Amino acid sequence: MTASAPRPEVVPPETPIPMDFDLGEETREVLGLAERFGEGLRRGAREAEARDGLAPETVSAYSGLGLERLHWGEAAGGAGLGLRLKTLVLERLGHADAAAALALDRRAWVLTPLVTLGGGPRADLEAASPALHLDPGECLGLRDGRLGGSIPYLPAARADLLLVLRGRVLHALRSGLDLEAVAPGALHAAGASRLALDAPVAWSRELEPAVAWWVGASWRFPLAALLAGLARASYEYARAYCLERVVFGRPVAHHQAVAFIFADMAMAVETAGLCLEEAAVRAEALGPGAPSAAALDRAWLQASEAALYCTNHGVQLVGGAGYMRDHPVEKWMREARALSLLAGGPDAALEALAGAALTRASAMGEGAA
Amino acid sequence: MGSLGLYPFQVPEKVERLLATTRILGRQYLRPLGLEADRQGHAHPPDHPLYAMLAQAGYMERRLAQEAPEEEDGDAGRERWGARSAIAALEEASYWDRGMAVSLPGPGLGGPPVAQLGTPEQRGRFLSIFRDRSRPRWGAFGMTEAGAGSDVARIATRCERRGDRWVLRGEKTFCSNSPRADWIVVYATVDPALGRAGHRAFVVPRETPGLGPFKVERKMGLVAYETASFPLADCEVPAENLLGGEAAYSGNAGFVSAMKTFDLSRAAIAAMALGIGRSALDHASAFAAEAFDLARPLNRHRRVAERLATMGRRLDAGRLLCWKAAWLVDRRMPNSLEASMAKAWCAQAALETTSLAMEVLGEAGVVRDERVEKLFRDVKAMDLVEGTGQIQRLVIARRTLDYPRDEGVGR
Ligand SMILES: Cc1cc2nc3c(=O)[nH]c(=O)nc-3n(C[C@H](O)[C@H](O)[C@H](O)COP(=O)(O)OP(=O)(O)OC[C@H]3O[C@@H](n4cnc5c(N)ncnc54)[C@H](O)[C@@H]3O)c2cc1C
Repeated sequence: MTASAPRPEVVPPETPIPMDFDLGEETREVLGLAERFGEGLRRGAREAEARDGLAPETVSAYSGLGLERLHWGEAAGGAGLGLRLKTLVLERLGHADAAAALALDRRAWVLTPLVTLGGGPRADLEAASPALHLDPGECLGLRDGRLGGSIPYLPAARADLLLVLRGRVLHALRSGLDLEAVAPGALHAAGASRLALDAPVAWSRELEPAVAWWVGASWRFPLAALLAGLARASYEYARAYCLERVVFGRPVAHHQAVAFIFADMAMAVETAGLCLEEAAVRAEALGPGAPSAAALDRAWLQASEAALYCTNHGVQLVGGAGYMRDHPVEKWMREARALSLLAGGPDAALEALAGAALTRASAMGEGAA
Repeated sequence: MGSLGLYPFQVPEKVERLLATTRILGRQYLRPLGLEADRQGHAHPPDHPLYAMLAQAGYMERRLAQEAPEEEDGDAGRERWGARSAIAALEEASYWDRGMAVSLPGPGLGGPPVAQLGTPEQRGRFLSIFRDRSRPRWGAFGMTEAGAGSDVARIATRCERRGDRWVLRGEKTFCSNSPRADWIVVYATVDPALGRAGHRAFVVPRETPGLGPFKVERKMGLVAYETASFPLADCEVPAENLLGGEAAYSGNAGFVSAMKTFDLSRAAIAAMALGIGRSALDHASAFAAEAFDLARPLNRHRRVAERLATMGRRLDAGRLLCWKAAWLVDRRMPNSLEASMAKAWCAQAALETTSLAMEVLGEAGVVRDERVEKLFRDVKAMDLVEGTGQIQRLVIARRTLDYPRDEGVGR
């Protein structure tokens, strides 16, 4: 910038969106339904972990609720109730049992970009067990219409469709998906596999950079809802425990050092929830592309940080008992760490947001020129 | 001073040799057996050949020297190295597998109270068994109860004198290695209303009627050693098993002996945390070198490199804290501030390190075959045992701010 070019005083804000916090009757009803279903998930969480999967009754009960395609348009067989409601439902399910929620809802969120972008043949939307993989660094090799390489972990026991976002190209694979079971450290109920890939690509589609970012972010976003739910679960559990347990003459929670941790946990939970809602509203208002992707990734990072913080302290504040499997907090701590590594994890989100921040900064420079 | 380069500070040759042996033990046994125990979901049985082999090789005596050292005073002019060599060896052993390291035979946390509070006769009776190489033996430390962990003054296990015996009644929890221990140091109270002044420490032999059954807890990690709860149902022990004898309990001797244990054991836990963290750092570094073409100047690679640098920096700072805390012990100088700093810092730094290591591995980090997933589960306990992170901060605040002493805050 030259000395004669003054800096702009104000960085332009993001596109204004309507934002209020009144959920409305219909939303509250749907959330009540999700919470009641979640109570059963929570009760069965250890069993699902031990058997590496969900009971078939649970799976069919979930599909009976009609929560899966809540946010898809009616043309795609959805209820058209919007991303905000869907996000809140996932937060409730993450609060109950994030691993189970991942298993139950994976299909809908893997396919969501196809529904939104209208890409891919109709048959893909019928896939029973779709899975996704993000490959921003193009580590997988593409040669003669085949995609090859190794995918170290997929939170799934089987896949009949694999969507891969490699750089800016979305690939779909329908055959050669021979998943090999692996033992995971968390999220057992979702299944766990690795894949040595050498399979023909069914179709590919090159995306605009902004749309490619949006696809990645939209895959991370439902995980953000589960992470926010986990953060809240851990906060609430530890809070109840520490209000009950007395040390040095008062409830654990009433020692100032602990009270401050709870205050930080409460803020983490609240900001994660608000960022999620804002991102969903923004995506509904602005549609696919960079302006809504930034909010989705921001929400993902906020939720991931909240979950890592709250689940670690959940174990810490329940003390030695928190390290034992008799309490759920140790499971939530493993799950928060695992969930926040999926779909590109912090690096993909940071990379994307850093790109946006640079664009914004150079817009300021141009404004000044 | 040694020169094998096994530790970043100069140490005598004796310590270098100890580190070299620990490395061999770690590579050949601790790492593979630790992973196996984790996969199986339970500890290796006490009759596992490794334990017998170590007993025969005199390993228990070596631990005795570390965990329950005889007062070294002779050898005027010779520098003491006991504490520093212990923490260096514990870091190394935990680098290979912290769970297995704790499972190895020896007096464990039971050693220090016997050494510090026990009469010469008691030291002989309870510690000499570790000189018998014919079979592996363990000691254990039973303080925590369901209602009393940090706030140990609240323990409710009662002890009552009946003639030449003491009768113990209550329940202990989270007592490590207790199901296989030859004896357990059990803390009990003559009267809960007396707080710490009512505490008495007993050595309860394994075969004592009324001791047990042991319920092994299912832990998040550290599966390679057993942590168990057990009742003491009218458990009678001879009066000679009251550590230090009746006269020793004027004032807070029982409590003070338990707290004194922590001056070295806190630095020891800190060193173990460092070992776990260093293991995660090495694994993540090797993974990064293999999986990424780090020479390419990509933002993603930069982020990986920054994570590795942060991990190393935190651990290195922590090692200095540990080293200083142990150096003070070797100089017979007070170290509770330094020990608490080492413990609070290293437990947190090591957790952060394993967590960042999982980020370096990305999705592969979720899979159990990758060691860091296990390290992430193992390391969390380091911020809970031997005084939680919060309790360490209270100690630091007391020492640095004259922070008022809460009723009974000791651990
Ligand atoms: C793997 C493992 C092995 C163990 N092995 C042994 C063993 O061999 N022998 C044995 O006796 N015990 C053992 N323990 C128990 C351990 O020492 C206790 O768990 C620990 O002292 C904490 O006590 P607690 O669990 O009752 O937590 P609590 O004391 O109930 O603490 C709950 C929470 O409150 C916080 N807190 C407590 N007081 C304060 C305060 N004043 N200010 C601020 N925060 C506070 C704590 O930091 C913690 O976060 C083991 C524990 C584990 C996890």
